[in-house]
Amino acid sequence: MTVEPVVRAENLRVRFAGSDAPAVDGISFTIAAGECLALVGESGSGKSVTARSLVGLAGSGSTVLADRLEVSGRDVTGLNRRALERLRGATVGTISQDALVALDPLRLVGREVDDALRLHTTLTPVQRRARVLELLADAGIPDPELRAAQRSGELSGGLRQRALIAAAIAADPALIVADEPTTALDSQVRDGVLSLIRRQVDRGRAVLLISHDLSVVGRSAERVAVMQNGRIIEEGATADILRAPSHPYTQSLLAASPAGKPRHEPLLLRTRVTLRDRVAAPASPSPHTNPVAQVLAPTASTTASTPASTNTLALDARSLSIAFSTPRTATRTVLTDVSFTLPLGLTLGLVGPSGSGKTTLARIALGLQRPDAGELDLLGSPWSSLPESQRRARRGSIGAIYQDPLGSFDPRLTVGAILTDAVTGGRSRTQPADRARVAELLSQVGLASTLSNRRPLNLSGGQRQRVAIARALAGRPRVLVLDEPVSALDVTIQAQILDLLDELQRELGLSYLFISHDTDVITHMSDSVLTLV
Amino acid sequence: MRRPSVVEAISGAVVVLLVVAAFAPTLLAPGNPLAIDPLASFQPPSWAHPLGTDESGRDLYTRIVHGAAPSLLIGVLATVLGVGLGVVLGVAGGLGPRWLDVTSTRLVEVLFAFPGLLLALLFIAIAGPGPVTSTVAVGLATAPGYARLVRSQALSVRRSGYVEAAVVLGRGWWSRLGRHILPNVGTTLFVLATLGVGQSIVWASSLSYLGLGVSPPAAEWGAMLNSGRTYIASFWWMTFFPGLAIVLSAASTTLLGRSLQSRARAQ
Amino acid sequence: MTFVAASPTTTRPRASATQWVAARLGGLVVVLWAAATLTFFALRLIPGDPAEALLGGPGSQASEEALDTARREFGLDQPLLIQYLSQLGRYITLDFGTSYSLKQPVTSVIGEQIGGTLVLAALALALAWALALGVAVWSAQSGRVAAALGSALEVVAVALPHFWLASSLVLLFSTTLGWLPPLSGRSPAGLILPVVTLAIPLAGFLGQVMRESLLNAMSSPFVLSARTRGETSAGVIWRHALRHAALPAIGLSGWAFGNLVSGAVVVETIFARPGLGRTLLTAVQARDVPLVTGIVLVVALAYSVVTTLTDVLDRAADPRLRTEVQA
Repeated sequence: MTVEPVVRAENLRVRFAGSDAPAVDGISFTIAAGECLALVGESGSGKSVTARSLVGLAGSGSTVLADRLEVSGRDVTGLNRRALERLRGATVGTISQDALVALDPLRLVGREVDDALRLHTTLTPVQRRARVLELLADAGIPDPELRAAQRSGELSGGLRQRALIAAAIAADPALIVADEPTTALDSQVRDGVLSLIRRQVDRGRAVLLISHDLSVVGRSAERVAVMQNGRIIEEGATADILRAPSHPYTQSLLAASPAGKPRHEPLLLRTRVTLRDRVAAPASPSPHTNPVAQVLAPTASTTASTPASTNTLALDARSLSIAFSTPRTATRTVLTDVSFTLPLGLTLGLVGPSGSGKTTLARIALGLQRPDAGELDLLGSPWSSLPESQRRARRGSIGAIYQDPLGSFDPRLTVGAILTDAVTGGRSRTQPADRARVAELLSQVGLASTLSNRRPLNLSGGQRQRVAIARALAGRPRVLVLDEPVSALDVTIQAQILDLLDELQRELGLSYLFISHDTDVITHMSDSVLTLV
Repeated sequence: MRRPSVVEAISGAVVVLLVVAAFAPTLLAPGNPLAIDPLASFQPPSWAHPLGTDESGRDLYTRIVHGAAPSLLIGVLATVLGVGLGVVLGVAGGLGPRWLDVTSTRLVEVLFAFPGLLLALLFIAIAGPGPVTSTVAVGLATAPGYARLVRSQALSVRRSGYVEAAVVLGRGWWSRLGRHILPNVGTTLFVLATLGVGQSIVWASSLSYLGLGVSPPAAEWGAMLNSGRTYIASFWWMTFFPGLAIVLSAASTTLLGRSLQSRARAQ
Repeated sequence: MTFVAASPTTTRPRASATQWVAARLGGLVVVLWAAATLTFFALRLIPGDPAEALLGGPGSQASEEALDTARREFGLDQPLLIQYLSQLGRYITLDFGTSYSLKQPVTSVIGEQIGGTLVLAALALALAWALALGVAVWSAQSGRVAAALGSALEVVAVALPHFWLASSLVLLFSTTLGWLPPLSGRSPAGLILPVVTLAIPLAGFLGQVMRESLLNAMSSPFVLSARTRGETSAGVIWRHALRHAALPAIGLSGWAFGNLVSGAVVVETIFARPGLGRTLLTAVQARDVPLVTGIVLVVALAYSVVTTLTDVLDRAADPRLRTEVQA
């Protein structure tokens, strides 16, 4: 006897008014009870739209058509507004990413969890309150009575996401849709949230997991469907797909992921490659493979085992400490006695949970912040202790790349103007040599010269980051500080930028201070790692 | 560039009409605004006098068209004064050293303690009524509002990512000021001023209505309202039409300012 | 090679609520002192004889004796510092001097007139809130055309000068329809037109602010979450979006109060209502400086108190202003 799947979609099509290409172009899938199906794709693939159209929330101006679109046996496309409202929460629970904005900051967390109970059950208020506390405790939130009376801003990122999950499953839905549930979280917190989602599967619910992150998918889903441009291009058991993808796009997605890739090996190759080729990864370390993780005493110094023959260090930090206080907020001690070295031509990865001081450390390295104690030397000479007037002339040796390049561009300027300004150093008259240099920079980062006339606002995320890199290279620096440079990018674009950074490092002998919350990226890109706790 | 919306088109057309009325009134109203005709006084709107006549038989339509120049001039001058003062205070606060910021903010707060027209009224009580004092008074009363806006804009630009990027590139303070900070603050200022002209026109005409600004027989809308005040019950057109002109001017400049603002944001 | 650095982030608790309130009150006192100083020096910086200005300006044709009496009475022959300090001393004891035009102590004039203005302002504020909220909610629920219409209405409302609106309303409801009295007598019906006149432009302004934050709230992720739980459209507005929409308006209500008092000057004059506004206008026309400064300072005091109260309300309503977001 076959059991009806919880979700059955056949030839689902979604179109938005005013757009030629359909967002979802005829996809079909099923999800059975006690099973997790992952929808994987990059932005614009249509995965989120698919999930939202299951509950009639595809968005204003959308048309949803399907040969069949059933949840728990009921046809979703034929439901009116009231029936849809009854369906949502009771039959389908949705978890979105970033609980900070997905929970109403003005309402108590307990009330948010209570919503589904209030709308879909006949429990009394007293019974509902007891159930809310049960749900919070079950989601792994300690001290549920305290948390239920707080607002989302008072909970940490991990607790918030758990509360959001509790709110989604409160009315015991048969299907859970999880849309990028761990994207905004640190890796430690992420595992806890994923196992909580996994537990729902074990309890017999159907889960639709949407993610761009293949490592998340590998651990949580039985089956995977890969989407590109609104179509499912490959589908099957997770283990099979990850081991031996057949479609070129899936292969490029896997190739682009930096997980387990050795140092200096380009992520995107032109020939077809499968994971099988990498499975036999050498365990013995060589100078260019993954960094060996050692826990050292904070003040001990070691020399790198790489062939860096010069004694000059790109960055040399000794006992940096800094605390912040303003009249309105509390005093926060952000860094205590931090020391590290960055040899020339190498990359130092910087990791740590949010709030641990990574960005502050980067700003000290850039000379934007003065430490309260300790010193940092740049290329062998004092840097952090100098007054700004003496530093200014040397600023050409160190450059910066940010997570959000758009904020670092003057909104009035075109790409060409930004780069020309960086090259001329603020001089008002441009010379032919300047124009040649701008062209050289553009080609170094792989951008067409026709982009000069465009504003960064009209470029894609990857293109903007390339412009930021070009600008940083204008002054021929020796050191670059990169603060989460690829975190906001899709996997394949991320791989392109990482490969570009690697290539530039080898060509120009750059030293990188590389910050990221993604341990796979750090492991792939760094020769040594500094962890702030 | 987006195509102009219906609202933008209408308000733009009204503003153009006002400008024509201000600079070339005879194109729209060939008559003499000061021409008295006692026999035709207090006439309701008719074909001969589309908007009626006042107590001395002067044609209201002609007076309104010719009154555009002085009425709008006062509003614009008061705005210029207010914006000028506001910029000085706001820039001092937003871009200057810390002590200057504290001083100017306190000063603005003190000015803010006098809400609305009260500051203007205090000024007029001391300096006496008249068109000059009422212009200065309105400028003073609107200055704190601009100061606050300019200061917050200056601060947000000063702390922005691109100014910090300029530091990393090695640009000095004056270079950052000239290349990045001032141009970005300046663009919002123009839009703010357009939004503020409407309010200045309303306030200046309110003062004239109360007898504290321009006095009759000048063909100025507020003055016309003043003389029409006593006849409101029987000869409503003397107050209604000049007032309508004021409302249209204020509304159309505000709408235009708003659409400029949304276009600037979209860029 | 790996480094591990221990750099714990520690925090000290921030200032408590009472400290914040005390700081605000302190600021208030400073502002009032500065306002009094400003008025004091304004009088002496204008060209001309201060005694003359105090007696009604150059046009008052006061006699030499009257001027001398005034100089002695107002202490104008004393050194500036003594004048300033004694003036401040008088203000602290709430002695604002004597009104030249009404021949009464300023404080008693204010005491008699302030009630009428406060009633007017309070009623107008309540009506403006109700109108603004109503239009914002209606236009949010009714689609794009309604939103554009609501927005246009609000812009026009803000552009309406009080005197024109009052005249037009009197024209319509009194002269033509005869429903309401043109001048406020004793009857409560006489309150309607003045309150409506004051409320409409303010409603336009509050409405703009409320509608913008309502629309922002409606398209925010937390409203989407509420919808995914099955919340109805009405529930979304009443339980979630409305609170967000009202927040900026609460903060603005302090400013709104000042705006209303300022508007009362015109409205009380047109409708011949007793109140501080009408008194202020006649005082300005008579150039009765003691009375004008007295009224203006009292209004500044009331306004500062009200803005402090709305700031307190704001903090109570929006917990994000109270606590720090934990990482």
